[in-house]
Amino acid sequence: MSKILTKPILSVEDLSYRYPKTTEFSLHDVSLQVSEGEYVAVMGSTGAGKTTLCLALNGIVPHFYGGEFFGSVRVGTMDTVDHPTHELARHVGMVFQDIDMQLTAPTVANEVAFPLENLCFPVEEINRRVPAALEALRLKGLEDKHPHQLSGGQKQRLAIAAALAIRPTLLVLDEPTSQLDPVGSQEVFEVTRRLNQDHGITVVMVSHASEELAEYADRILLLSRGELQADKPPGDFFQDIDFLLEHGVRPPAVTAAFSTAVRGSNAPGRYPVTLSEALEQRWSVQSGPRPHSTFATPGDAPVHSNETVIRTRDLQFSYEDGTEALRGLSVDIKQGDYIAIVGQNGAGKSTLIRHFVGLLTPSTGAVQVFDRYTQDYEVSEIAQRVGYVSQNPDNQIFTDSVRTEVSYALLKLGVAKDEVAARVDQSLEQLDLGDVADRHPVTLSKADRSRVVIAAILAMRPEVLIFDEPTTGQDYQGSKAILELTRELWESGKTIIVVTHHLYLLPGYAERLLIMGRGRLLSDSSLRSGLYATATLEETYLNPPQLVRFVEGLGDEALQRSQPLTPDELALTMVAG
Amino acid sequence: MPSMYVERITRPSFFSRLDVRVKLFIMFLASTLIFVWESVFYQFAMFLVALGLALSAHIGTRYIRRLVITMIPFMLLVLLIHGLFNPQGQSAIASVPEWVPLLGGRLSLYWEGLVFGGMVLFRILTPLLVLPLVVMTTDINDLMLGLVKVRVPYKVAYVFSVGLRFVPFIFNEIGTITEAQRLRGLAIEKMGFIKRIPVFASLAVPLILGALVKAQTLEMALQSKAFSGSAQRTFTNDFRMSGIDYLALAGGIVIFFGAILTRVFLDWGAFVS
Repeated sequence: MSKILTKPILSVEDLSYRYPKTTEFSLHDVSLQVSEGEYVAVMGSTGAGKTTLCLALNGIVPHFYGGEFFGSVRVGTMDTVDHPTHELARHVGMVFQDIDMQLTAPTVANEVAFPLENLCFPVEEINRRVPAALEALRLKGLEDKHPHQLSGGQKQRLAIAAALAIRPTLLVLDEPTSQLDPVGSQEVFEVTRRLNQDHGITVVMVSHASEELAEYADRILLLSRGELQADKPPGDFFQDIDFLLEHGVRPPAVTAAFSTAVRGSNAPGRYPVTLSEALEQRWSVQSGPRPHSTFATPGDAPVHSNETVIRTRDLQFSYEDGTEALRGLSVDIKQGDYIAIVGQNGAGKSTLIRHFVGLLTPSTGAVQVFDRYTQDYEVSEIAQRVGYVSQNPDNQIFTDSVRTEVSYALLKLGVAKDEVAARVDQSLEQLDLGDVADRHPVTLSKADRSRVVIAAILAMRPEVLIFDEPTTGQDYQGSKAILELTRELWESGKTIIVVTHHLYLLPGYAERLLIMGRGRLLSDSSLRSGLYATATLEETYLNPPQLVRFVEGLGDEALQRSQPLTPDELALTMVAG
Repeated sequence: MPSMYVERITRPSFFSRLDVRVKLFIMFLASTLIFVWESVFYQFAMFLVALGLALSAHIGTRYIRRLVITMIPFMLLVLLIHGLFNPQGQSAIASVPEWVPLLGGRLSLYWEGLVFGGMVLFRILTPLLVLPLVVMTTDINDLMLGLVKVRVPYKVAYVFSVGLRFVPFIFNEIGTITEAQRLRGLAIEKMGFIKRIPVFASLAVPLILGALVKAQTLEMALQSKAFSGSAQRTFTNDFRMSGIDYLALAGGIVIFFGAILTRVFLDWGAFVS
């Protein structure tokens, strides 16, 4: 049902902006209008100008940064250039990507009251609005908690509650779900939808979550290199898949599947963009669907050996505060495995992999790495055989050039200079960093900074590589680039372990899936079987990929047995029309 | 996982019940009197009072022990430097033997210097005990409002409260970065002091960059929440002084002026060795 839209409350005209000391404009001639009650999404790859656009809506651009600003942004009747950000804050609520730094108060209730206090609302009014905002965001009962005691999803809902308490004209959310697990992410999307539909709050949401935006948004804007390339309702926006991929945007899985399935046929060219639309389309299973064993294994799979590189037995671990993080977990990781570990936040994934590198030692049970108990190793010894790439590259870069960063540990480990030079060159080449070898790592994109860290770890020649949430905070292209790299490393004989929430990215890469929940191993199977174990995934609060839900929704047993995971595989078994 | 916020003692105590202005006055009193007195005995007595208040306010012995242990290298350095080089030194208690090249017979450890060094230590330890005593027993909002009520500009009070937020963040970051260094194969735990220096120095790059990025995000978040630094704002928390507060305040004032007068006119608290 389409909304009846009224007057525009946001008007952006010919907006161009360049940050100080940069040569490129971050936004070029962007013009758009948002009407009261709309839910507008903004998509685009990293560096497309999405965050800059958000910051322009409440005046942080240009007031905070300076730089060159052309055109105009008006919120209601206020021109953002003429009003400082703290005045615009009465009309524009802002939620940032960085969950922790945007929460500034010592309690949940104080956090919501803070902007109201700054705006000089009377105490009685604040005392009315704070509980109302907490109620709307389902945070009632948590008033006296410290914000950092909340889960990721609760923290973002708290940030929204604080923005909402002002009763803003416009609620702007800049990638609020990028650091959240699927449950937290779902909470935030549900809440924004409810605020928009039930309370008429106008929402501008920046996100890479195609499936959710297709479901919730009224319009989607595509920004690319600072230019507005598209501004359409989701049903139209996701039709031109090649165009979207060219601009770094991933279409919803069902849209991609349908487009692949009808390619070359005479079927009408309008693709479904949501799961319910896809299920309403006419599909038929090709005669005799192929058994899943005929689907290709990703890449040129290396020959597996029977050597166990990491083994845990009845592994239990409790933190100092008594939290039981692992409850009797036994698993064998073989040389040449490509394993994905998935599970909700708090499932024990990080605790488990920290045992693999000796950062934690078991409370009871045992962990062996290359047949030695981890207690018998120093962390630095294990690190030379098991490389660990954590989520934030910025905590892992210590020097002022890419080349010295890659050689940093080798020199300190006493590797001969000739050997260091050879290994550094090889790592830089493998990670395609040769051209930026002399640059400061800070000047590179986040995806490239991650590559620098991986190059530095690869230079130590580890046999096993662990990637902890490598795709969090990355756009689609960045995520794919990192996963491509993991596949290349796997094909070169390394054992790969990836921890992730992004199940939809795994097909084509991982072979084996460990599903964890509440400190236990719920399932250890092939990726294909694991992603179709929907009940197990839901037990640990993970949404199966949209393609899997679609196949299940069709209810065709033969098709379910074939377990397609990618649009191409689905197209091999289905006929759309 | 390490916490991202300064620990707060919620268990009630005499000190925690005091009005924040009285707590701030006690902090001022302790931090000032240690500079009025030059006697190590008076300093020690003041340190014991601060320690007693900290323990009565349920600040755990673990925290106090950690504070002292962290300070031990620094304390030894201060004692050694004063013991060797303080101009007050007259009574040598140990000397470098003649046969030691260069230093032999030229360097002695003096009793007066050690006592002076002890006084300097208490001047550092007492505020280090009193500051967390106030911070850990007071709601941060009350602390901020208390500072505003004693005429500290709101912007400064807020910066102070944000600074408190950054302390655990910095410690967290140091932990994460050190961990990343160990995962690069550096056996920091096996390194000697000299070898550790360049490793610790390399912490600075990610630490400072991380802190700058976080500070920028924080400032943007504050402005987006209508924060302008103006004291013209509503404070939802408010508090009034009770009888016990007035009594503590009066007692504090008497001690403060009594200490200054007796120091000036009776020379109480003068340097003794």
